Amino acid sequence: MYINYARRELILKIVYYGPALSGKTTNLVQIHRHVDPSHRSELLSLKTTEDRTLYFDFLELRLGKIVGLNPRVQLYTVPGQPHYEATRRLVLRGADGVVFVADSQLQRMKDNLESWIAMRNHLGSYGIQFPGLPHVVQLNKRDLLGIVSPNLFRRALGLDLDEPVVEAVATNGTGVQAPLRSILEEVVSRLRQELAA
Amino acid sequence: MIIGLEQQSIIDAILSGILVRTSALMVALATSDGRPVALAGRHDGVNAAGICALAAAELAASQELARIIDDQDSCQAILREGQRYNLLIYDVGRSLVLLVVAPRAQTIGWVRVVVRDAVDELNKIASRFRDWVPAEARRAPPPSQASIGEALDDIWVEGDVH
Repeated sequence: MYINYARRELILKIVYYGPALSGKTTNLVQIHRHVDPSHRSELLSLKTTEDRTLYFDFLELRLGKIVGLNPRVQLYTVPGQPHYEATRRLVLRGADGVVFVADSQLQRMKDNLESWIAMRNHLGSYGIQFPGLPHVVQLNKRDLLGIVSPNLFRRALGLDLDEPVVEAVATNGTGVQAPLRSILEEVVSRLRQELAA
Repeated sequence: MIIGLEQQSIIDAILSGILVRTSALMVALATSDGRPVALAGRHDGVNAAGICALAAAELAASQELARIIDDQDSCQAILREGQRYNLLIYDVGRSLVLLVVAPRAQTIGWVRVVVRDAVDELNKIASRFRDWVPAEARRAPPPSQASIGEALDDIWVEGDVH
């Protein structure tokens, strides 16, 4: 959480986490496409020569003034390839909320589960017990064959019914705004609780 | 982290001091997770949020490297020598990151001296205000759940904006 009362800014950090090729960068590309350019930064990507995420992608959204504050939302992705574990941990540092982008294909369930567990462990290394951090799961690639049902997915990851799961086809923009909206609401709700305490 | 009016004016003065003493093009202070705190110098038209995110990431990667080779107590600073500008990134008490873009013509030793003094001052500020909630925070609560969702709807355009 970061609030600057002199600059009237509330800056939130949201990390898109998930296994390789699950669609994290595609989410940011779609958000970039659907947000008025006067309300966002350019999409910043640190990529390998094979066009895969090397460090992170970054996009900042500037929302309109609310109760005197100008909210800025900083969106990061992590690199999905297995050998970038240390980098994923660094990008998670200071996150106010996480959107976990899962691949719906049955054959990717093991990757989803490993990524989910690793994320919880990384957050634990920063002293964050995972259910305590706002999070939303996006079940991406719903247009493909051989996909798991949301119920089966919930059971596999051990998600409670009140943990939001949004179905998506990020390549065409379906289900991209909903998890972002949901995570922002969760984060702000948590922020109000922290400041009231 | 919450920054109030008092902290911001002290921070701005320190950054302006660096700018004047080093003839820097730009000085930026960010949180260690990449959120901009203050900027000084020429930054119009610059993706300041992106610069702060990258500076914090660069320092975090360097700290991770130091951890792997078991050299965590060394001075946490990075110098990038460019053709026109030298770029210095300093750790400020593990909670802030200071970035200075100084012209290559300026002696790097002098820039380092000035920046280290500034880092000491910023460290004092950071520790003095740690876990402190300014009065402004109590007077102006953050946005509600509904209002932040509506603010996102307001900037969201159906179809491609390009």
